[in-house]
Amino acid sequence: MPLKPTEPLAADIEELFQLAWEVSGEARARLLALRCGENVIFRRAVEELLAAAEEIEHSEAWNQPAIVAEAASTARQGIGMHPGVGATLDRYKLLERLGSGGMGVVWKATRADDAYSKLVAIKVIHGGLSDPTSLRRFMQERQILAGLEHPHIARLLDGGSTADGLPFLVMEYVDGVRIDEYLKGRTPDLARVLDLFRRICGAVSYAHRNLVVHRDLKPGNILVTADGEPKLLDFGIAKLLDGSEGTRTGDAAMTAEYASPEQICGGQITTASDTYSLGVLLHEMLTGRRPYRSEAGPLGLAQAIAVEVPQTLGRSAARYFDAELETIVQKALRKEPERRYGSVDEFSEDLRRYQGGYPVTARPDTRRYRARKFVRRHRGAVVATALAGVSLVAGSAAIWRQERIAERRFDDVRKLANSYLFEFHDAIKDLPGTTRARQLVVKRAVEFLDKLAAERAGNVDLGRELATGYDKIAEIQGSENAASLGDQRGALSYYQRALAIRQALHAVSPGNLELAQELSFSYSEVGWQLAYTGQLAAAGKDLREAVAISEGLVKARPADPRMREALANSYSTLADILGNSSNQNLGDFQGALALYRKSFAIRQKLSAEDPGSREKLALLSVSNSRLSQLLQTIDDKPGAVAASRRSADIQDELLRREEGNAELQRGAAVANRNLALLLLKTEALPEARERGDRAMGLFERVSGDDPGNIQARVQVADGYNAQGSIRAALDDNLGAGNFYRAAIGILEALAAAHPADPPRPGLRTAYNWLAELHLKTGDTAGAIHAAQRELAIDAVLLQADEKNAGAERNQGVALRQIGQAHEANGMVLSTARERRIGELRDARGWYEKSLAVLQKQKNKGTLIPLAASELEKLPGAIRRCGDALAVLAGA
Amino acid sequence: MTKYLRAWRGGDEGALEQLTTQVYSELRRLAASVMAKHSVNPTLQPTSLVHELYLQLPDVQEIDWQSRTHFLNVAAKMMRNILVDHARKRSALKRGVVVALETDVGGSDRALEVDVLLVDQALDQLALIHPRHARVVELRFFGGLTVQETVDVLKVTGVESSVRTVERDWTFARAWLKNAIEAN
Repeated sequence: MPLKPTEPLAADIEELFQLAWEVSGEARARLLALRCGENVIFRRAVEELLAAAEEIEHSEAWNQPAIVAEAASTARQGIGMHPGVGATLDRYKLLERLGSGGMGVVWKATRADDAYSKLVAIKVIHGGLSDPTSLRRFMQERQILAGLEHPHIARLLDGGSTADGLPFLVMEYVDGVRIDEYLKGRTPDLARVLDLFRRICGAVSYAHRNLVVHRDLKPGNILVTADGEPKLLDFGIAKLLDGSEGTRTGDAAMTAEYASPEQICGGQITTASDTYSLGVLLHEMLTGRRPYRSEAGPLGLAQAIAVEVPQTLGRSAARYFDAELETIVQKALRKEPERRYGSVDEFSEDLRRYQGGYPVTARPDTRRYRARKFVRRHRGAVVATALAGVSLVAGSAAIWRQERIAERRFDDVRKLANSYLFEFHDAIKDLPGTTRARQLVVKRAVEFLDKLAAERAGNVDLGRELATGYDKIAEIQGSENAASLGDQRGALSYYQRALAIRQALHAVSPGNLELAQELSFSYSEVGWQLAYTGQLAAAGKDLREAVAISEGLVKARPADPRMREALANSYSTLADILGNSSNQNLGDFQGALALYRKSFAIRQKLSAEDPGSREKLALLSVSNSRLSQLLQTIDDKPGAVAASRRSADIQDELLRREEGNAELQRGAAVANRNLALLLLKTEALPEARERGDRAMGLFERVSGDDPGNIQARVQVADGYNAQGSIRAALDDNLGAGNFYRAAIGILEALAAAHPADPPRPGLRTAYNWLAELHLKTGDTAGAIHAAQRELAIDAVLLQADEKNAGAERNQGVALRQIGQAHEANGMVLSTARERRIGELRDARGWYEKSLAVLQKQKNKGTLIPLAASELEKLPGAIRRCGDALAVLAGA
Repeated sequence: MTKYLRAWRGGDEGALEQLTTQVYSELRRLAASVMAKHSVNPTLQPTSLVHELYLQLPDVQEIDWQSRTHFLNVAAKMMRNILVDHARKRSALKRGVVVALETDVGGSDRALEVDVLLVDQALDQLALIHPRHARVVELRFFGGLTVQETVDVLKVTGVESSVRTVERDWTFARAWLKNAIEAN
């Protein structure tokens, strides 16, 4: 509608602009004509804006943030510039600019008044004094360098400041080329390269001895003179290990290619980080290429360094290298700092050994890495966000650009987060030693999903993915079977979140069978977690739900193996809560047995139908092991041994099929240990010992791979327990005691580090067996101490859940042990009579307490045969004490 | 800084002041170091300071989405102050001449004037007429926020918004500013 020729309204201008912007050429002209009519002012206003908008489209300046403009303006104006060629800096004359680094410029200079005209290198801080950070770092470099004097480190000669107060460092001038260029030009032989490298190690090692970490070791910082001597430069971001604020990446401007995983992930930087960089350097010196390459830019490189396996020397150079040399380099490049060489000296030593033909200390990793599976370019953006704390400067992609990637459409982002979550996580799950990286990364991905969920509530597919995302996190946090850290309660809340989502979805579409299956699974997981945190009654409820749903699903789809396995799983999980004595349980053993049998039957059939399936075999092994446990509880020893042996054999077979798998190692270790314990009880000692030793070996191997893994350490402790009891059976009391104490050591340390965690069964077991051992060897004080610890643990457990039958039973046993110790004390003839009477009275008292507790169990029906035999012996013991007291009183 | 962020989200107004002070000084420090580096190596692309500061927060993965948005809001507002401040000091040194920006990346067109001070002045004018557009410029241009983040911040401050709106506002606002600057 044509307007009157008056001053047009701003809102109208804008509106027309937006409309006109959408179209072009003819259409635009027509639109303007139509809307403006005779109003020339209006039309001109809009046209000017359109013209400006067109220009802006092609202008860099208008498409970058203000800071770029401001920085450029500043640069143009020459603020913060410092002297140029020919200028005099204090006593020195600047000759030639050599280069610029993270916070300073380096000049070649000479002393203006020196007859010799000796060349020096002068480093000037740029940015003048306006930048306190640079200034601080500069001063620190000066301080650090002043303390270092080594033939292979460029020496600090002098320092001072210019007339305007600009500080500078005067250093030894090194006339040489960068080490990578030096090697490229000459292609020296292996011996020469290693020699050169070892000299560099000498320099770095010296710095370490002076408590300086370089943090930026790379070819650019290492020159080689004409004599072939290396010189280490640029301690610009070196750090004194003086215990002050942790070295975080926020402080350092480093180049990604040589950065260590901990530098990337924002962890503690130590001398081991230098070791790592040296490893990268050695790799490059030997092959001309670096061990990590990525086409996705610096962020992709960061991902590679943090997570992927480095290339071997042979791969990089396309020729053969000795396995030992490969191993040495690999050791320096390990992701975990504590698994690299303990010092640069060790590194250098190993190379010397290699050169001399002696055996080296580095051991190869026995795993096969599935590297290809998780190298995907597009994950770059998500992973970079996940690896929080990264601050790459030189040559880095601006975060601005990274955000543009994230600005993609909704679905793309979701696909990214999601597929990344599943594939990446599953691939990494089986890799030992990566717990922390995994946790960080999954948490980030779920954050993504969370945010998306808030924006698109009610979307079924998204809901399911979100629920699964929570499951994965929970799994990391607390699942027993996968490599994980021990935060069970956190895991519970995540499982519950997943359950809530699935309940809601199921209510909306009850006919969706897959959803129902996921729901059943969720109930199981939540139930299990509840049990693990001590809430047994609630657990039972959820698990029965799971069973009910699963049974319904199998009815609906009898031929579907997944549904059948889900049913087997829910039977088994419910049975665990009912009567598995290796966790807190409700004491319904017959009920549990029936369910385990059902589960076993289903899985046996499934595995027989698909013999190649690793998963089905693993599940069958689990069924066997559960059966075995239960059969032990109800005292069917032959049955228990048979089941346990089946389980162990399956686990061994699975491990044979895939040697490097951490989860399988652990599985085999546990299975063999359980079998060993069982065989002990049936007096089959030789086989017990063999199985026990095998288990121990496997535990120690696994625990070494992932030191952050609490579960692994717990299982080492359990392994020690088992070994202890084997030794005890063979009458090696000393050995047995050592093993028990070792187990206690590990578990008590864990308990101290995680005081909020529920007490571990292994600890109680260790004390129990230790107490028995002490009773056997006559160390009554030791027995009492150990038994008291048991009681303390049981008290905590019973407070959390008074229905805990296992804790109650153990209480009874511990009470008896104390009584037994006192009785033993009372029977020592050489003790004073008064004392003996006191001990025997105590003994009787403790026996009576024990009797009370076990009798209560019998009345409740939760008394297992093992405990029943204890109960039987107690009246006799009490009578014994009474008789002895009578004798003593009368004498 | 995170604890102030959380406290403020939890309703503690005093924490906002603390947060503001800390964020401001951190951003200024970062800006100074960026300027310094850039002066020596002009091809170095400065990163978005707001994002860089965000990443430097300890426990950054603990920060929920709401807090993050508030943080961005606060920080972006400050970036404008800081940059304008810096520009004023700079031009005091060199008599307020508009400096042409030559792009180093070959092939790009000739000098196009983007002086932070001029944008700032023009922006004040724009705010009188099109306040929402001015806000978008403040967040995007000065703060370095992405389109999505701008949407989030606007919403969180009670302004209806969407990706489409922000993009349109952004286009219009820049055209307007360019014209306003060149008119003088």
